[in-house]
Amino acid sequence: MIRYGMVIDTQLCIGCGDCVVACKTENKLPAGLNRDWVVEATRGRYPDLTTEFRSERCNHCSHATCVHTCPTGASHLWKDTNIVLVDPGKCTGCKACIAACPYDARLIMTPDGYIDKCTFCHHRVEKGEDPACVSSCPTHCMHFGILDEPSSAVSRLLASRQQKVLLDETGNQPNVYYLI
Amino acid sequence: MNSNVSRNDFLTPTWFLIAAGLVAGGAVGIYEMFFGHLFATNSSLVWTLPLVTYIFLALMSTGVSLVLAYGLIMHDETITRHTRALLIMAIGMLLGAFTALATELGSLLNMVWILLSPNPSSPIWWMGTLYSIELVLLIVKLIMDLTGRHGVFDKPLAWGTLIVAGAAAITIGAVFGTVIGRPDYHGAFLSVVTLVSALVSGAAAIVLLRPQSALTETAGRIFRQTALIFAALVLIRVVYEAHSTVVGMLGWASVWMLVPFVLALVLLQFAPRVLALVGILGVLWVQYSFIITGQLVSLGQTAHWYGAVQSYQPNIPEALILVLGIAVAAALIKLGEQYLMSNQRQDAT
Repeated sequence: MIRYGMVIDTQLCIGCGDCVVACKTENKLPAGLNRDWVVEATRGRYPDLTTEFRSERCNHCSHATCVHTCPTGASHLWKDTNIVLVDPGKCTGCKACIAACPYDARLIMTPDGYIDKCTFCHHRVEKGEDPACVSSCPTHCMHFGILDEPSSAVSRLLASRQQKVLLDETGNQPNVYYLI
Repeated sequence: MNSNVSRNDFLTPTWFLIAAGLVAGGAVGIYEMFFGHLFATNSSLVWTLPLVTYIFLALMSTGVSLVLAYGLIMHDETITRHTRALLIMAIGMLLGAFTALATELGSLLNMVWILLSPNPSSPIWWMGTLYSIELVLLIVKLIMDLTGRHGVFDKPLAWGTLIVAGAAAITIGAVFGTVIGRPDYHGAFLSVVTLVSALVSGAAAIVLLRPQSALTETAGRIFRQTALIFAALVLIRVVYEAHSTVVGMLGWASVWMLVPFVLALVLLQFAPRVLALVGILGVLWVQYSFIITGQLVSLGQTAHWYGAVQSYQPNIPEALILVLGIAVAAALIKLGEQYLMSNQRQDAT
């Protein structure tokens, strides 16, 4: 399996929201629905506090509970990768994947009722391009690539900097890393 | 089949109430399926009263099936004498549950599609499959009873029903218990709660809906015993939640939830039907509480949209789906009693 991942440098992210706009434009999302979002969090211990911006989305987990819990296989892995997609034609709208996702990365597409989520812009990845959010980042804080390839930019970044993933304790093995 | 049923048999207060429920709930169901979204759900709070209705009725049907299977396996004549009536009850409740589920999923076809496109790692797929098998088993048993074919298949069918119904009730709990990101859901506890709540509500439904007889006495005994276990489970949960330091756990249990079951335990013999109804409402309260509370804490981006902790109250269309599910079950049970039990003397002890 090819394991794609995203590495986001929280030291460089300024929380501008360009990634959100780029995703919305690229994937033609309706008003009110986003596949990614920016979190503004506090980092450190008082009195040494700083603000941390994090661009968040589906973590395309290696152990994706949403894929396991989907009764029809509508939530599935793209080709031989960890990229989690939803087939709207197969989705019954049971919402089990929404309940299962610890990152709240799924949303109900209205009015059709199927579940939508970040696709890592697999249609761009297929052509060798980065996801729209990565391409549009003005501070170049976002990086995309194959995590198991030692020479990839994401692997080199992870080898050189301290990092964290979100909700590691859930056992989902997320593939979006945050450099701290 | 009873051919003596006349139009007057339908001109009763019970049928009037059932018809009102079918029309009001049916209109909401049809609107939800074909025209637009009426329920108070959002991208974070996804399972509301319509799903609670499905689980409530499906578990009650499971309880009735389990009581019947127990009677058939243990050769308890107080139960087996009422086989047909209990089968009609279990089928009616299960079809009422499926009606509520169809409105929740937005289409009847979506229910069928879950079976046709299987993912064996999914608890929801197992739940749908087990309840479909359960429905088929119940219908086969009813047809065998109607045609008078008893014998070699009775016991295997009873064992099959016992295993499938028990597994289905446990799997409903697993649908919630396997959700790792939501502390109010996660764990095996809910599977125990759903299995016991099936027995409590099923036994109480028999006491409530069947004429007083040896059957209702046996069912009352089962109701009292399982209500005691259920009250103990709720109490364990209350104590656990009071001491819990799990981040994001709101807690769904309350000591007030013990009241209906304690009342039923102590006073059942004085007013069996009233207290059976109280017990059923108590089970509905517990199921509603854990299903809704488990989703109230927003996990990610939805915290910005809906708040870190949401509040929920069912809206009128959702309440009408509860009415619809009960009305469908009641209509099928009444039709079964009127058309299929003419030559039965099952009401006698």
